[in-house]
Amino acid sequence: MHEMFEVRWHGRGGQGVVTASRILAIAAFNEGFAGVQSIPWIGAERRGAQIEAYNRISRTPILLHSQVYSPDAVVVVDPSMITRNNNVVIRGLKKSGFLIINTAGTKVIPSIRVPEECLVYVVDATSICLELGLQAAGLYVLAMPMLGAFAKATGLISLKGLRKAVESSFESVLVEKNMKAIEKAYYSTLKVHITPEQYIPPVPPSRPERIPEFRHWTDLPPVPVSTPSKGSIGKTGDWRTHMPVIDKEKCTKCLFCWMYCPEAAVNVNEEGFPEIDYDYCKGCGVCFNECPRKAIRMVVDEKK
Amino acid sequence: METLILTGNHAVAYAVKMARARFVSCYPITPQTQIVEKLAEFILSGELDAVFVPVESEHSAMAACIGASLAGVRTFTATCSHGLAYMHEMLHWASATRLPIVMAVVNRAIGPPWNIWAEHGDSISQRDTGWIQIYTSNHQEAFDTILQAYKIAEDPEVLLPVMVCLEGFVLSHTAQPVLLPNQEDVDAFIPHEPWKHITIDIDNPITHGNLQMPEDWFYEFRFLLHKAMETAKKKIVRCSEEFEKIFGRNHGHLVEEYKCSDADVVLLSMGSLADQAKLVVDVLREEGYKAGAVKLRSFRPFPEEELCRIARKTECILVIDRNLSPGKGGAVASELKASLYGIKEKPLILECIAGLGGRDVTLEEELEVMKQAFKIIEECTEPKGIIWLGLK
Repeated sequence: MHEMFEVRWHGRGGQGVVTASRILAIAAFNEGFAGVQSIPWIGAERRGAQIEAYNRISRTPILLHSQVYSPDAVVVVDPSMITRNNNVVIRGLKKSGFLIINTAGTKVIPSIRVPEECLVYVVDATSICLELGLQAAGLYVLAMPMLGAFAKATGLISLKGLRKAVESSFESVLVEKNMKAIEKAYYSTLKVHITPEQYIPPVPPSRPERIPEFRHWTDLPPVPVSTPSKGSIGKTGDWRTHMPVIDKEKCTKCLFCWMYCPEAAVNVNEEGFPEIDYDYCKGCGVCFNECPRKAIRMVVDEKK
Repeated sequence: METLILTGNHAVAYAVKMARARFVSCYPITPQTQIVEKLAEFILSGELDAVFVPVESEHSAMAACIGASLAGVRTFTATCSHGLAYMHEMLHWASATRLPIVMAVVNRAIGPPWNIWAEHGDSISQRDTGWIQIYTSNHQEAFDTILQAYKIAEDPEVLLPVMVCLEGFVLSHTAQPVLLPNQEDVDAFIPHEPWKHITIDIDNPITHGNLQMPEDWFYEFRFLLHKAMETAKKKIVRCSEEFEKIFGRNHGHLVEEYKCSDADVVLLSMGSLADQAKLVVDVLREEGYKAGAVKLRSFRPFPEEELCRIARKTECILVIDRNLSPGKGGAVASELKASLYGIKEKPLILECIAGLGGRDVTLEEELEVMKQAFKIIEECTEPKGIIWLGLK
């Protein structure tokens, strides 16, 4: 292995990415790595928002405190990340690095692009969470099974080491459920074959995106001023794992959903019916909770 | 034009009236209260066409001024000491939003023990808030500097708030003649041109101060704030030259030199002590000492180049600081030393703390410490740390 092994996690707020990164650090430390780091990247601090976390694992204590730019392994917790922008996920990934993806089936595999010699592993973490009901505050904790996939792919840590770390991190009632998810993932993680057409030159390391209208301080006004605009941080419908669906037969046009939606993503059509704006609906389920007629269902967003 | 015998506080209030501030929000605090009272009178009588917003605290006073300044009107507030400390958070909002607010700070010590008298420590401890700080030495300068402050603050290349400092009681409650200029001249000197970089307009709503992620532009906006301060140096000089052309008075630009050209020891100070320093120099010159004085007017931006120029031609600079950073010393001495690091032939710097909590600083004390300085350079002895003037 390299002198220092660096990991980058990609997921969404609420999927347990930061917790998993912490458990990985504990597990690695327990297995004799004197230098471990778990680094959450604090961004918008919202459930559903894209987040990153990092790990460093080393035989000697670590002095570096900056973020990880050239990871040895990338763990993609939320499958939508790689389909939306493959290059964001693999930026800086080392030539012979690991790409470990949560995906159901093999549909996504042909669209993946990686640097030459990269090792690509897949696991269906979403199904494992669904099967075990591994949820926290309404969201599937997809990052937990990904720890099992990481252990299998890299061989850096053992299931035994992960168990010890999980035991020190959760109340005893949660330990078995989480370990079951980790173990299931460990045994079902597969290495996938990548064809030469899927190889691309390494994507250079970069920081997360910038506001594009400026390039240099000379472009800036004296103070940052923004005008109200729709979707100024992009289509937040991307953040969704579940989507609300309105049953017009049951709907009485009371517009509770319109009133309670925290994102103003419910519009009222000409007939007075509420309609969800799926470009911006984050799938929080507030409308589902508030609908007095139970005319709203939450269903898994199949597009993702 | 007319000459009135005014307290320092009333001189400030008259200047704000002649600058035609349109918005005033203050919370009274000794020794600044007279400013608030006088402005309230002016507004009530209609002599000043402005809105006065009474508030429950200095934090709110600055917040109200920020709101008014965002609407594009000339604003004013005044405070000191604990009030200024309480305002601290809002000072950052004013400067980083680049609002040309003018505030008088009637310098007073911060307790405990309770003390209402002169000391620069209150404004010095707001050093890093991004406000321009100008220290005034007498009543006329306090009046004139308020007018200048609006011109500097509102300059499109500056757009920074300005603190005009005058010492509590020493200047605020003593009275001296103040020459009031003609209103037309003031209007010509500071015509009101609303700033356009940020203005509240209910038909075109905006938000400002939005979250900036580490990789966005926060760092660059701080860099721009620093650049504006650098630009302010030039503008302060230009402003006082223009002021002199119209009104015939010059209180110095960033610094004012007094008999420095051949001086072996230069006395550097701020505020009323800088006026008194000229007298110290005159007495010493009569006794045959080659003494000079420098008044530091602008503490932020700090005039490094000007002080280096003065330092190159003298053997010793004695700094009297009416403030104290416990564990280090006086702010002006510290910053002077840092500024001179890059020049080869450095003068000896003597640090002197004086007048904390309003302790009177007498001519005799200053003469004595200056003579000590002459003795040190004559005998080439090592200075022994901070000189505590009048310590019992």
